[in-house]
Amino acid sequence: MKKTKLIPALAFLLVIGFLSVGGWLAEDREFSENENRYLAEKPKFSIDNFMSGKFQEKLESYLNDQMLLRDQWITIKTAVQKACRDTDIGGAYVGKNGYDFEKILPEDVDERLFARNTQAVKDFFESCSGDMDPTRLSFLLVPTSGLVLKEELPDHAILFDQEGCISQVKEAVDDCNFIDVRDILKAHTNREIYYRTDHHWTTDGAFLAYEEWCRATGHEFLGEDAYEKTVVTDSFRGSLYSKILDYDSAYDRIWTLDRKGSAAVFRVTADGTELSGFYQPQKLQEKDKYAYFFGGNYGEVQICQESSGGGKGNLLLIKDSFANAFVPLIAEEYDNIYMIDLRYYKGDLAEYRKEHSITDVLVLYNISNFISDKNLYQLSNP
Amino acid sequence: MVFSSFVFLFAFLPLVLLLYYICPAKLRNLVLLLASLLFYAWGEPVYVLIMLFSTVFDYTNGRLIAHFKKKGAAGKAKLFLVIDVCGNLGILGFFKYTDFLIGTVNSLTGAGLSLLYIALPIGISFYTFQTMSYTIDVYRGVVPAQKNILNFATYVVLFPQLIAGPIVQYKTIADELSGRRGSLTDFGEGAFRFSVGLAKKVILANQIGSLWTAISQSSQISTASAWLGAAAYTFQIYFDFSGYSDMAIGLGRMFGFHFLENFHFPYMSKSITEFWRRWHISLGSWFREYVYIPLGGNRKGAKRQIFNLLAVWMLTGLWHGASWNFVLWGLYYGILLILEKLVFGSRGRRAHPVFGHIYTMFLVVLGWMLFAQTDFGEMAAYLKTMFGVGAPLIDGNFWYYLSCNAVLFAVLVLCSIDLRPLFARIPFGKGLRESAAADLAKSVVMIVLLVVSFAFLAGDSYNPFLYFRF
Repeated sequence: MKKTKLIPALAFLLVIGFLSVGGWLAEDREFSENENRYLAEKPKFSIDNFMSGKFQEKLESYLNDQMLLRDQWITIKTAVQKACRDTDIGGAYVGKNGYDFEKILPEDVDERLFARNTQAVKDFFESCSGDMDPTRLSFLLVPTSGLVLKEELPDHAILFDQEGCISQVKEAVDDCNFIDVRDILKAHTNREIYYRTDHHWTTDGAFLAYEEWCRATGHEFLGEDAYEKTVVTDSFRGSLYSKILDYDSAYDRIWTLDRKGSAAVFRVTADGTELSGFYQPQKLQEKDKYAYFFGGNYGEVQICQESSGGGKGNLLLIKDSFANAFVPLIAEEYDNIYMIDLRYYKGDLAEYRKEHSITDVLVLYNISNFISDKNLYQLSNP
Repeated sequence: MVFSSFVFLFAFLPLVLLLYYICPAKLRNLVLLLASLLFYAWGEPVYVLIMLFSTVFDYTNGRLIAHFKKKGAAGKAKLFLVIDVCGNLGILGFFKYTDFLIGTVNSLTGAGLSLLYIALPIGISFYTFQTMSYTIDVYRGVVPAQKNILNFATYVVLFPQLIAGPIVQYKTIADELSGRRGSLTDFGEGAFRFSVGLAKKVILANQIGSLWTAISQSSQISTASAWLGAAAYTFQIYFDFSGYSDMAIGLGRMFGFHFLENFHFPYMSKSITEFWRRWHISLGSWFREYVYIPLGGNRKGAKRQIFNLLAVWMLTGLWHGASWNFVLWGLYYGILLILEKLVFGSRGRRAHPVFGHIYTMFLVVLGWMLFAQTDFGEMAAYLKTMFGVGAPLIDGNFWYYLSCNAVLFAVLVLCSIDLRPLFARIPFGKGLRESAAADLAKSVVMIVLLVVSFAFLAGDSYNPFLYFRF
């Protein structure tokens, strides 16, 4: 006589029942901090929506996005993958010693876009050199951690040829002051040059580049001892953490380096609104703590050195987010710095140069942004 | 709708189960029918009409065939069978093969006819074959015609096997359509089977599938990587397809239906003949029963058998997709089977089993590479790389792919082997295996499989959008 088997049936109903009923009852989340995007809302049913398939599509993404304990599920997935010794998780590489890396494959490099962006910078410098000294046009391409911290990558991890890309740009854009920071960064891998859980460089990374910048542009480099280091947080988990969601992930510190005994006073204006300074401590309470530098990205940031007696020149800085940690280090060297982020700024740059009596130009991009940016073409016809 | 979607798992399935079990037995087929129509309409609402047409068409033909057989009018019965088969093949041919035909005519004659871009109704290859099994069996007198159109419609659109098989022949579930006794035991077994299938699809197939995608799309592959990619695809297609069959069988059982098995550890086979007895069993038996044997099978001499095998395998290939690479893949197996049956004969069977396994898997893996790539140029390039033409033997990428997937491969190999005889040898005694403790253990395994599957499913839709609102 076979007994009725109750337990497996019950177990199944409990799991499915709990997740479906719980999912419907739980309050919807509006925004996912880890994913940095708004989550799907409950779709409205109509015959038209159903016949076109829109309703079905939206319902599926709604149930996905609003799944009970969503981020915890991802953590389970990551834990399983890590247990299987997989290092390619969530579109990022899990490296050694707590370092995570951006995963950019050779196939991901859009050769045409890359060539177009290179040409755009070349065109821009050419148009500037009409009324500016070419030695005052600088180009700084920041490598990503995958190139500098090779040792920390998973063995044999597949990455695009970053070295080749940077060299290619260096060769093509020859009529400017190309600031090559690769060697100095590679020579100091014992320091924390990049965050472990974020794709950005740290203040130390930016500082090393600053040393190279001084050498290339003829500014005096005071040495590290002239700077005061202040750690502002030790609980930063950045963009790479968000991709992987590893419960076991490291925490990063963020710090600042300020010139000792400096009396310089700055007025910082972002898209017309005055900021309290370079650093925005309120951002340390949020998920993306790298926004401590300037509070994030804007179309235009003006930094006016009010204490300057003048004669230091005005810098136009075409940049991505890597510049945010770098700019505080060079701020004292100029009367005014104008930071332009082409993702948000759509104005006429030739006009802008004239209007603000620009004496120096710096283009600063991270190489992985540089090869994939779709706004750089604006430099071609300023 | 697919089983591995959130809409199915957390909305459709719980609701249908609830409705089904609170309704009195009389209404349950109706619940299943309506649920199945919604399930089908989810992907392409308009195509429900084809499905309803098929249902009425096959139902009517079935009744007419039975009617004329009873009256002794064999000719008329045959006529309606022919009408039915032509109708089904016509629908399948129109929707699945029209553009293929136009494309082929274009490339042969340069006619430049424009394609129709017909969207393929989901599961059409499966349900047309299922309904043909019904009318043919009615004609053969294997089963009586179904008089209740509701029951018949339930068979045609039954959502567990609707879109990816197994091809459930009418005779398999004829009795259960009109009266079945679902039990909690069946429900539990079905739920367990469903969970195993879900895990096979979502955890194993999808994970190893991403390796195949990475390798086949990579701009530089070595011979070693190419073989690793081929192995990845070999596992992906097995765990994907058999996982789907497991889910279908499990779901069927939760509603009291007992479908036949569709896979039986095919990668343990020692010959190609054996492989095809273990792989997609429901398709193999369909072709054998309704095409190969009617053509005369092996009873009309060797020449005729060769012709029959080639014909059946060309059709089998074509059934898998409207593209010439599938025909090539079918013929490849046709030729291998002819060689095994007529040339190697019993000598092959006496070979060492290790040799048998290696020989079979080598050919199966190679076969999947014909199957996986619809573009002949890409297929040729990939095969060249596999055999070391113009590619490095091994490179760093290979080591990276391997290091990320070595554990997964080990799990895949273990899951491809029938371990039950091994378990049976453990001296637990039958009592323990039937005990509540065993049920509990089974339930724990099921919950773990479900939880990990959901985690991987959630991972698929998790897209950090880093450059938005930067």
